[in-house]
Amino acid sequence: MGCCWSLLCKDDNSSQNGEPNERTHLLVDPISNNIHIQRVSSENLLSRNSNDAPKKTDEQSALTRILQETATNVIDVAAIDSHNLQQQEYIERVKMYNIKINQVLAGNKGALANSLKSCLLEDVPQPEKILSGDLLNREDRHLMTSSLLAAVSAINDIRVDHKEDLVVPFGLGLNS
Amino acid sequence: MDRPNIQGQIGYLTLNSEGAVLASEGDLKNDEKTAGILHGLITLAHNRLDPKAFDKGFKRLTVTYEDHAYVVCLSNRKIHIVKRQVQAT
Repeated sequence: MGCCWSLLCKDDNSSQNGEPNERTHLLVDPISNNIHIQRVSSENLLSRNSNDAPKKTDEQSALTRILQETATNVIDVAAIDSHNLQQQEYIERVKMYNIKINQVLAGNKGALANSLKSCLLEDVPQPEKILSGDLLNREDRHLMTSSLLAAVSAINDIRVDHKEDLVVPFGLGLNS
Repeated sequence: MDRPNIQGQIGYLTLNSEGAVLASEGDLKNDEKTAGILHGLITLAHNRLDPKAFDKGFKRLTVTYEDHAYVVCLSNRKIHIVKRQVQAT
């Protein structure tokens, strides 16, 4: 279980007093650690060799360039002196991860219970009994549908019956 | 009860409390759309109904159509949905 986001958490190692933890990289970044490998740009090589440039050195420099570029891009696992996990450490880490997983699961259980609280239905022991119960019979359904239709048509039928003026003059009688 | 067998059943769905499909068969096989709608419906109904207005809690929710019906109930923290044929009488 190596941590791959090495670029993002480079500082984590130092903050943990060098103790390996779940965020310790299994592979150390070779580019930042190996000082002797330097990226040599092709332009540098060209300018260096342009003065005393017999054809053979050109080819050789091109070869070295390819080699160096490859070396900077490849992580040589065997060459890196990485922290090797021992059997005991594996077991310890398994325990540690299991504890963390259980903590997360325990946190989620509360969320699960909450999502059931917002459920209209009661928890019943024998769902088959409830599910196989009689469906709504035809007459009841007819009653519900017809009264609903009547209600809808009644609501659609609501309108203002205009009989009097909307603006009524108040208090005008007192002044006159 | 992961495989309900009810008379007139033409499909079933079993959901967990979050509405994810655990099992399905027949007309409702992998029918996540229906699952989502019915799961939303029981939550919506819970938000709209005042529990004080009713003597008992609800055991079943039925969505009835002309020729079929969806019957929903909760058991062992799972939501069971059965699609049943409505007998034409």
